Amino acid sequence: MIGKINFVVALFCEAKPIITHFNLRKRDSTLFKIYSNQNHSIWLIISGIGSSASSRATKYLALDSEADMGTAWLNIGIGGHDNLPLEKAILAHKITDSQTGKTWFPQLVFDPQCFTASVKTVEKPDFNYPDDNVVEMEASGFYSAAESYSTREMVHCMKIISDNLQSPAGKITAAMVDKLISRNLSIIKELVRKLQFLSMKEQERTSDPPFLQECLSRWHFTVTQTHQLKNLLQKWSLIQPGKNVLDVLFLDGMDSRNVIQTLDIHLKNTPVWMDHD
Amino acid sequence: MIETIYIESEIRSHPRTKSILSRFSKARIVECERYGEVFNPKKQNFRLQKIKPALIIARKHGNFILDAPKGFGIGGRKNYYFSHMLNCIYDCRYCFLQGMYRSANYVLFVNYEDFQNEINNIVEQNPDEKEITFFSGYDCDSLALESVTRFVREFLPFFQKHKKAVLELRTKSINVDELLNHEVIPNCVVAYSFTPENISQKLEHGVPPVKKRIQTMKSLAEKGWRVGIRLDPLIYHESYKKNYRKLIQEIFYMISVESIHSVSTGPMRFPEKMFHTIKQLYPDERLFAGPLKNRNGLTSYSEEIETEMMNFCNTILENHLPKNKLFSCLQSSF
Repeated sequence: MIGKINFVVALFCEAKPIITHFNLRKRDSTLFKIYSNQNHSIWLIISGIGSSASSRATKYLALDSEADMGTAWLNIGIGGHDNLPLEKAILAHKITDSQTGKTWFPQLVFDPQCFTASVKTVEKPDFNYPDDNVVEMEASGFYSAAESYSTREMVHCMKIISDNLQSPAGKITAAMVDKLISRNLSIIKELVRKLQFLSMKEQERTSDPPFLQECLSRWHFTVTQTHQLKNLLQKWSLIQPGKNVLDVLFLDGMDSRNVIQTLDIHLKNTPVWMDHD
Repeated sequence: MIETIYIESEIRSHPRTKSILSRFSKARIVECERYGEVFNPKKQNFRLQKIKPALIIARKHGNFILDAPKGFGIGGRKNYYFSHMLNCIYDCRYCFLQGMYRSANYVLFVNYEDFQNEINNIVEQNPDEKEITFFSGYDCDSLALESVTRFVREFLPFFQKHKKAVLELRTKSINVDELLNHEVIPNCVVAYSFTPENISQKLEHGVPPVKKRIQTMKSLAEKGWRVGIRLDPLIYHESYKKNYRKLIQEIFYMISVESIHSVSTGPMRFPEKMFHTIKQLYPDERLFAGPLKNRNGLTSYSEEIETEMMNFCNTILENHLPKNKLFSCLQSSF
């Protein structure tokens, strides 16, 4: 299994180094510019500036990429801070929406290999850099949308410091942004690797048990029966690893009810012993 | 190793908070208003958080001491439990905590005095009771995070002064320096939980080996501490008779009966909904594919298996210690 990751990035100049590095190709899309790699394990959307735009783009990408609970999400962009040096990458450990006061706490279950900080999402550019926060304009919209599709361990925001008291935001250019992101690509790559690992773990956990698709294509199961079948096949995979479930099912003249009954009886007669390997 | 510490703003300057922070100078510190902001949100994954749990330092605002669930006791008429901490450093697959909380982060309530005041009130309100039991290891392991919490260090002197209040420290930890360096107090029971070694290796992740736990219990007993043995939950497996007999024999070979305050046995039971949550978290766990049934809102082994295992273990235990030290914990609620 390959871990899946979706990037949400406000501007093309922020996205360009990522698109190039991960060899992403532009896809046909009308509302947003969307990119993905060849095996569709990495996706990227250009959201535009602002929290609402980021939220909309995240939802759009979730649909377009068929994101599931095993998909990791990463918002990358630039931000300002009163004293952090330019080019420094930070991962958000707290996100606050300045309008609503709502907060999110991304869960760091890995070593991020970069500094972490609180991030404040503002509606309009704020050059006062309040309360030791990294100030930016997308994180809260992104986070509130992305956590609908995944969990807080797999949704993260990385900001690269683009302005501070010594170097105000007015000096920022597209070329400078490209350079800021490019110079942090090794940190981004490492973060992506860790998120892909979590994604892979989650996909393994939530994946269908072996033989489910074979059974579903052979017989017609109701929703309740499908649920029962999944449970039975999960148990089968623990009790009879590597053995083909179809070997105990009579393929001719059986209906979905017979399948479930046969499996149930078979598994009840095959105890699972905790002390066996 | 704790790398992230969340702190409620209002207790940032609490002496215990400061003390903990002084011991984790490299930790990432994140302030929050209430611990629930971090601990309670729905979109969290307990299993992933177990990879690297964070510490949340908080103040508890009420319900300091709660009635112990029915069927939970070691001889006393009045039983209470309290949780200075939520969650555990160990990762036992049969543990109800993994289905109880959305987060695997450790919550530590640092306002110990409020717990102590409430215990004091309960003792004063029950002048006719000879002893009242307070269980501390219900939502956490009482000893495992002592280096962070200093819970034992702070509560032993309190219980030393309140002799009618019996403290049960329930644990699987071999981190007992605090106890070994403290004067023995008779109203404290250090209770060790066990499953047979082969089952422990499969289900009790991160827990010290059975032999080390028995050895630690022996050290405590030799120092004069009263110890408890908790065969709870009993795990059904093909060789359960042989393995539980061996475990019990090993324990009683090492520990003198005089040191033993109590032994309890208990079945594995989960509320149905909780079981469903846990099974979804660990679909690859053989324990949950075992002969479990839904009965009266609980998922457990069949009554027949439960009774068979309880009777078997209790019969062996009765060969080693008087019946009045033997208890069955038939918890029916959580």
